[in-house]
Amino acid sequence: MRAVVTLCVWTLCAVAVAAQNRARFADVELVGPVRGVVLTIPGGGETRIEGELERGETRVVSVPVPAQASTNAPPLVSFDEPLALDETPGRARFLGWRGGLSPLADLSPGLRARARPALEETPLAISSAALVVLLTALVVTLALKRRPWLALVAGVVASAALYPLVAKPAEVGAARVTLIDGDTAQDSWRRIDAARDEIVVPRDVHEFELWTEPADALVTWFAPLANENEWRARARGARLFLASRCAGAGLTLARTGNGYAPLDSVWLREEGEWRASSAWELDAPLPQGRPAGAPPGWLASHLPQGVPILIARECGGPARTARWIRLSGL
Amino acid sequence: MNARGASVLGACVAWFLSAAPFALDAQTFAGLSRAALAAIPWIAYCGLPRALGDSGLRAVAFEIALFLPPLALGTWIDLAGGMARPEAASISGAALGFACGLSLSARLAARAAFVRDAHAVVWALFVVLAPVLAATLVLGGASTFGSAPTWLAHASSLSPLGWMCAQLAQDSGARATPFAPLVLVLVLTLIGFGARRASVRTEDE
Repeated sequence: MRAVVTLCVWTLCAVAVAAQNRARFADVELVGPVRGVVLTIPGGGETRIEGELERGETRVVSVPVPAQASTNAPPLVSFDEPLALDETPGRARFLGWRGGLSPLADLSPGLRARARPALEETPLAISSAALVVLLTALVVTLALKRRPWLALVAGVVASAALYPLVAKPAEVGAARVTLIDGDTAQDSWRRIDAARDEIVVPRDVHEFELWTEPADALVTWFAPLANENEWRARARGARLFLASRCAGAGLTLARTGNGYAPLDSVWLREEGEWRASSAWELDAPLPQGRPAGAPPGWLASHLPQGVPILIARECGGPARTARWIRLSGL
Repeated sequence: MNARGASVLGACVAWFLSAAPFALDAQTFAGLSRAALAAIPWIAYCGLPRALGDSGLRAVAFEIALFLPPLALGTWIDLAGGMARPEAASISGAALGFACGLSLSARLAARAAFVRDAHAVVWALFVVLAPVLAATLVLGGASTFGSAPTWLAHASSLSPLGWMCAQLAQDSGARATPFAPLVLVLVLTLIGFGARRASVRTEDE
């Protein structure tokens, strides 16, 4: 009985997880001349195939489509760039869905259950002078009540004066976070790339799932014909998470030596206590660390109990990106 | 308090409601269009039926002068937050158009009692009641009774207030041009012009 209940719970969890995926691969046959092919999912979302095929060219492409696994309805194929009047149009035909099994299916349930990366908000810098300008505009407008056209001019001037008082900070938090979730006993690890509004699929990631927050965000995939596998997904106002599987790097990371990458902001949890170090150099043994506060909450939650946990950030990388590793069993 | 005094007080209250969110932490309203947030109190206030005699058209310019700075600040915040320029222009342009049209229509209608009453009925039904009723049904009863009736949804889509509320979410998919609300504002303005004619006729007699 217990086994049946467990099986049911796992099945429900699997369905729930699968239902979140917004990247399902569709095979599409293109016969030139075509350009601006759009695959629209009934109920929301689309994939735009960028580029064109000349007359006589034929290609079958596999592109991500924001359809959920539970949907079997084929995408609607249309064109948003008209051909010249004297051109005989080619065609684009949906051939079918590719694959069915989640690329994360092989991962251990513990790895799959770990928390997603958190993306910091980008707070706007609104000068407190803006409120002063607003109040001044109110007083001036009230004073000019008998001369409303002058008051209107004052309102326009105040509106213009407010413009420089709102600024977007040049550098706030990480715009893109990559989190490698691993376990020394596992061969396959989980990788999650997270970004706001738009995410580009890394070149070394071929099979993935796309999750969004909010879950029903309107997703548009862009698939260039010129560079296959250079896909990007866009969902305005949403957080995007690209989950994939990567090879485990457990052998390169041991207490005796770091063969993985230079790390900074290192935390090690042992017997329930977090110890922090500022850096772990390449090839150096794990630093002793000092008792300190826990790492950021999203990194320290949903972790297995009773095993050592290493959390560290890789040094360097492009601006406004952060790459973390979260390893259990070190 | 006379009609003009009440009008200034009302405008100040609308100004306060419109500007107050800017005094709070910006993160409190993360994900919301600040221009739409600033515009909602004004759109609700501008079309409010006026007392007979409160028909000075110069007051429209005065109200817009008060409304402009909070709307502009909201628009600058939206733009800095990453909203596309056409979207920001659409929201602020529509807000300004609604405020001008509704304020003008309310003041024109205040010249004749009968027309003012007609204006008040149309304003109350289509600008306020329809979207409030539709929102109440959708928020409170959708899970039990399904979505709002089609006729109510159509009536609600006419409301400038409803349209502006739909623009609140920055990732809103409802960035359609507000044709229907503009038509309603036009109808209200035509009703207002009816009062102008009626008052001219009365003066002639």
